[in-house]
Amino acid sequence: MPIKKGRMKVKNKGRVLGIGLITAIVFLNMLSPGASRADDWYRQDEPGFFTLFDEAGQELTAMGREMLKNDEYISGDNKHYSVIRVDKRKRSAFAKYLGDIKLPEFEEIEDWSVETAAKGGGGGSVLLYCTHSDESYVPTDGQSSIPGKGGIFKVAGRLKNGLNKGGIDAILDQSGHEPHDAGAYRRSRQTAVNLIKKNMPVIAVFDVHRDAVPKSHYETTVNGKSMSKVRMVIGKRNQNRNANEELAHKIKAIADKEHPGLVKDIYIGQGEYNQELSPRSLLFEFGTHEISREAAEKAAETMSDVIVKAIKGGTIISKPKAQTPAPGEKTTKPPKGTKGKAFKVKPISQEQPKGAGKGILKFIIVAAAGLVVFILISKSRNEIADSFAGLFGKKRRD
Amino acid sequence: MSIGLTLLVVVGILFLFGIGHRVLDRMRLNDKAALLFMLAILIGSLIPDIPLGRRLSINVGGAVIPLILAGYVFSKAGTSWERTRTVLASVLSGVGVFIAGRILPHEPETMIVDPNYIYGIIAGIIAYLFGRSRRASFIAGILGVLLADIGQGIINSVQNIPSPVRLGGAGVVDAVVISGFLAVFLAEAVGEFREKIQGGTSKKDMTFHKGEFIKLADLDADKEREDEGEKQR
Repeated sequence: MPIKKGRMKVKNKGRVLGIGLITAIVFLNMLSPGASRADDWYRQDEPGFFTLFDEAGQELTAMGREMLKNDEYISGDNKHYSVIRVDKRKRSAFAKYLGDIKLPEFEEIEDWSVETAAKGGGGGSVLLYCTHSDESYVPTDGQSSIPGKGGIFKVAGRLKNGLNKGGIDAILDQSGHEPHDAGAYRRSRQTAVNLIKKNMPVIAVFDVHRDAVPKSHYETTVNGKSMSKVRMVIGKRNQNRNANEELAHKIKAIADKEHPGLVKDIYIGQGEYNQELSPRSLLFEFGTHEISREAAEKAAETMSDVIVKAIKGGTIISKPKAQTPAPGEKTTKPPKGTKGKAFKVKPISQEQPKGAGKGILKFIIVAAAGLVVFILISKSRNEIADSFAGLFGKKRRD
Repeated sequence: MSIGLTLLVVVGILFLFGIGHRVLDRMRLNDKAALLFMLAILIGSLIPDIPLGRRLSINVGGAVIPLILAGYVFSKAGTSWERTRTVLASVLSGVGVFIAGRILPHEPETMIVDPNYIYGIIAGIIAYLFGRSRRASFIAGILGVLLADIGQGIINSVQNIPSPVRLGGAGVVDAVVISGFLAVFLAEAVGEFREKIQGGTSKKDMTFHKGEFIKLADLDADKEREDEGEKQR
């Protein structure tokens, strides 16, 4: 009997240890101000968003997602930062300047009087879905969250229509992924996979969102038209990161020339955002919950023009900077007699993506590291020694 | 898609295939059976989902084949006590996954472990604690996610939220499959780690019975139960 009691004790120890481990994992994952608060994450009385500062204390940006150490940020003026410190209590992050990002350059052309129609790009579809299907715009939709029928679908719809007009086969899946909790990305993964499965070959996959920061961060005027800015978010934790970054850089380069002010910035966070499913996957933030949906829709339409050119190629016209609109004036035109520059953009099918090679290399390194850890855990010293002895022609021990 | 990007996708699939094959191998499926099941999961993932209701569907590769596999593994369970523990672990794993979905942060970057793997880890730990075997871990990993999805579907339906429930909808890359595989790896790693810490196998006072190491006391109890069953018949 005493032996049995002893055994029970050991057994219970294991369970207590395990329950402690689960609690620890859940607790560690919960150690964030954004835990399980879905759309009340941002609150007027208490700013739930994170603000990013440079080392000199100058504000760089704000984001309705948590910022973590080693996140990366590419500002509107192409400055590359890495987050070095996060103060969770104050919801502030501090970033180190790493240098300037070199966006793709396009060949300047002389004859730009007639804009050449985009022709290339090859076959394939651009797939759209909204992980946070409840996200809405308060001034237009009346609330920030409408489960299953968020205003975000209208913004994504406008993006889709714009892409279709530009000759791209864009497909929008309007599946809901409620509730807006930790499982939303797991559910939207199913939507993304179904979309990919039904619409092969795939050119790109876009997850359409809106941010949750004060509207001042997203208000802008592009070529004289008032609209919302657009942020691109890329996940660090997947093998497609480089391929995704390549597309994001190309989109930003085109937008900066033809629609300056449209692309707010690029944020490279720690999540996967289902971007490992297909190369050229991006997450877009069209405006914020405080901005009108019309402004976000306008941005989506303008962005569709940028994406069409990034995929199919064509000519982009960089106009001279418009003058600041006078009070009450809605649009402004560049001063008469001033000429802009024209550039030729290659279709995506004619590019040699460097990101894919890096992705494969990462995959192999991760797989090899995993294998080594597994062998170290599951094999004894003698077994490992025997395996290597066999490799070098030595006789194995019996 | 360019050759580079196609290669990237192919490498990803091969990676998953390798992991899956290794997991099935650890559950004592022979090479051919493991390969067949992995192929079935991959091909089944490409078949359109089977509709089960207005907002409910099931994927062949992501749920039907894993369920068949779970059923097969369950039928091979050594003792009736192991079966009971497996069922208990599966239910608890479902509850754990559901609760985790509700209380964990909703943005992936805020989580130390990505949402696609956290469920596998939770299911794996629960399964290991209550199932104490690779088989129980695998079954609980798979059923945990499926049960949590069904529970969420019921809640959505009651609240009239038009979000569909796609059981194993992402096929081979669905949390159902990932959780099943991850749970086995975890059981394996934890088991081996414990063994190393305690300086040798804990199976030295055990016996090999019906393809599984079980304690002598459990074997006696199992035999007694079998004898009683035969007597009643």
